[in-house]
Amino acid sequence: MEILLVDDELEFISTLAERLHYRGIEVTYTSKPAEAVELVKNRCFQVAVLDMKMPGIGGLELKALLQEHCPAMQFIFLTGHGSEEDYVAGKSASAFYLLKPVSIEVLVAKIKEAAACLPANQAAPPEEP
Amino acid sequence: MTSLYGPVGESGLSFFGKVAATACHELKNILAVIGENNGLLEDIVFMAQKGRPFDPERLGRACADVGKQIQRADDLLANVSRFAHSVDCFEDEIDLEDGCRLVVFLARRLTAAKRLTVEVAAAGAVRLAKANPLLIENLLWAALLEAADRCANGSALRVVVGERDGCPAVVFHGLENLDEEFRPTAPWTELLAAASARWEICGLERQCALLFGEDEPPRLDGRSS
Repeated sequence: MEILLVDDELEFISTLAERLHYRGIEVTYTSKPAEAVELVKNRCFQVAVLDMKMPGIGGLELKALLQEHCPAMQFIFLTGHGSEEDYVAGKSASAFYLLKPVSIEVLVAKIKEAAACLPANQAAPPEEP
Repeated sequence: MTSLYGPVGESGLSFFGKVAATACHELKNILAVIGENNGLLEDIVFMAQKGRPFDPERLGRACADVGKQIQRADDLLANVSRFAHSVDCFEDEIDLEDGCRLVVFLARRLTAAKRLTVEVAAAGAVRLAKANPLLIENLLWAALLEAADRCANGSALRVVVGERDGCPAVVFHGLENLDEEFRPTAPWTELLAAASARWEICGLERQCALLFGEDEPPRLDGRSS
């Protein structure tokens, strides 16, 4: 399974990526949204986990940019805000929506759930830890 | 619905809310980093119990990351607390440099959206003898965001506190989009009038300035006479 993680808090995503690795999920991460767009030009990920609010760009806007290159990619939004506005926006964008701080078990379950929504030829179950 | 507080009061409430929301967002992020490091330590303990050797250097990095976030939260709370106490007295002597540093700190997530580097400098101590602290902070906030809006992405915005024409002034340097007409709308005009201040734009020098203590009423086009 190929997961892309984008959040401007580098310390957050690097540690999260390490913990997902321990659970058999390999993650490519970046704290720069523009770099995420460059990454998907060469390689499609099955699931992208995006921060809802990053400097200069919102998660929904980034989702649209990533989908231009990878239309089947599934999305999970992470947010520290938890505002009603974010929740409605996240849900209406056909994506999963989680509040920070997020339990790793909940995130792993959501990643699997999101991956299960992929077309059959693009799905790959994560390895068990 | 009609306004209960007038444009200046409404602006103050909105400013207070914006600062609180921004601080909450940052605190959530800090907790998220601490939470992940806590989880990582639990993972390492779990794996060690299963016989997998652990890397002391990795533990050290996790501790350092947590320490860094604690310092970050402490800085944030110290500044938010200072800001919250702005409403303790209605009128006070105000150190403009101090006020600018506070507002630049509180707005850093917003200025980071444009990847701006914001630096505050002062040419001597500049004080407003008697002013409402929240009003002045609100005006500095509005001026900073207006200046930031006129900066190129990724550029440096320099905020210099000093005097201009004998008036206390805050000058914003390094602006780009100064050809666009500045059209002050509520609550800008009301904030300027309430603080006896005016907003000047100097396209040639790529700067905007907030000048205090002017007897002249603020010009509606925001340009200096």
